Amino acid sequence: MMNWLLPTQMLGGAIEAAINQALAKNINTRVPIEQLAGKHLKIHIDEIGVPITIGFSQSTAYVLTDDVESDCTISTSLKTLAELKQSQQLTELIKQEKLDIQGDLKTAQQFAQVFEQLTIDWQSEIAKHIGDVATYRLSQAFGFVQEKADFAKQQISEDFSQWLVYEKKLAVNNVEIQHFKNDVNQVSQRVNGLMQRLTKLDQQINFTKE
Amino acid sequence: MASNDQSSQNDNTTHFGYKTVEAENKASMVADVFHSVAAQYDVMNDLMSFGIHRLWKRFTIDASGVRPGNKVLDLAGGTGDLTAKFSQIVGKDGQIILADINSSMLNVGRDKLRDRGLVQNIEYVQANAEFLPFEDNTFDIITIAFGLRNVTDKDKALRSMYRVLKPGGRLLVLEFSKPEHEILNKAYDFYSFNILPKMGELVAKDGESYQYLAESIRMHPDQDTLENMMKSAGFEQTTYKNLTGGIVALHKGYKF
Ligand SMILES: C[S@@+](CC[C@H](N)C(=O)[O-])C[C@H]1O[C@@H](n2cnc3c(N)ncnc32)[C@H](O)[C@@H]1O
Repeated sequence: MMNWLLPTQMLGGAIEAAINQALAKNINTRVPIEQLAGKHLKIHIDEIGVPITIGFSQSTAYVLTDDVESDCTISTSLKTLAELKQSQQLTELIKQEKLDIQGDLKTAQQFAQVFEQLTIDWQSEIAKHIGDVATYRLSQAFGFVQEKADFAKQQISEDFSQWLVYEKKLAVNNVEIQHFKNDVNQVSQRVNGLMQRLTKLDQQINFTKE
Repeated sequence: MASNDQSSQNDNTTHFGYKTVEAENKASMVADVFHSVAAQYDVMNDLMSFGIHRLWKRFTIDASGVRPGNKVLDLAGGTGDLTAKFSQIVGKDGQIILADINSSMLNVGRDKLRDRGLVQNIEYVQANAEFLPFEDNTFDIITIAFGLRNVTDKDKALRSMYRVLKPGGRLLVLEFSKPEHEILNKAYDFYSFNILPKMGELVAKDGESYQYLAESIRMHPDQDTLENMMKSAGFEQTTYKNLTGGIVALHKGYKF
């Protein structure tokens, strides 16, 4: 079921859009992106499951959500992030070893320098983008998904600002993510049930036809 | 092997949607379809798939394992969605070749990518997938997204792709396939044959071309048949993944 709306790719697309929006707005400040060309930073957040890899090319960012090679990998959990003080900067965190970093530390610092200069409005950008990827239209087509999609959209717009490492906010709500996961499982079960019922009906109809 | 185009008929005919036509005419008939849809192609793609084709493509990029410096062939690349992403990732040391049989699609693609400032590592080549004009062992990755079903001799095209891949390289075929569930299959048929051509008529003023698209999707080999065709062409470690209930599948195979 999880491959229906490709939530991982949706998340990747949304993060990418959020960073690129911020880059577009920050056009006048001197964000040192050139030094990042050809470099990949991978972020592993336990609760999210898939690694998120960020790269920059010319003046835009791209995000990959598969286990691609990277120059540097940061592993952490939402729980750890939640314990961190809001005002801490990423470079500070690296110095204090609150994040596990493997690979080239310099790459991590260069990425940190870029992100510290961007004000990323995760909340509205991601909500906008998820809407964009037709969650909305699809949910109209499959009525029973609607509620869930709206729920997801709402969850993401409310909580996404706290999902990722960025300039100042590092708090996160783990419980809500667990809820979301459970909810997705439930929809998936309901859909399976529905499919089975439809198959039965279909067989009955064919039977009466004959 | 019943759904393999060529083997099920006499040697000189092939499918054009549901029609059976002389093999030598298919390429030009397909060309007409894409000449006539080129300008509205991107809009229609979004409309027809509710925007999900973007996620299918993203999935393909994720699964390709592309790295900075790679050389990639985006075959039947059309208006260049995959090329745009690959171009960013492979960077200045890498290269992307956007190849398509149709000049109108290539032109729309070139304009779009230029407008986005993507120029440094993209080359455009008009080419038929069955006769790829590249040296043996050239590419790290080949992708063909929603293109294989339009090719007249698919086996020949797969062999041609195998030839130009480097050892260790991989092919990714993203294509409409057979929905996993019979009910979904029916709903999808209804959508494809009743709604899709009407949308084509309304938006692109071209219902016939979209009728062809719907038919060509149904005539395309299902998941297992395509996997076997890839094996016959020499690919190893072949796998496929159903996306959105099997409406689309991503096949992957390696050359060693
Ligand atoms: C549905 S479009 C897909 C375009 C693009 N890959 C995408 O996913 O948006 C199919 C493309 O295949 C091209 N095509 C058809 N037959 C071909 C052949 N034998 N060799 C190369 N390209 C071909 C068409 O010109 C058209 O641009």
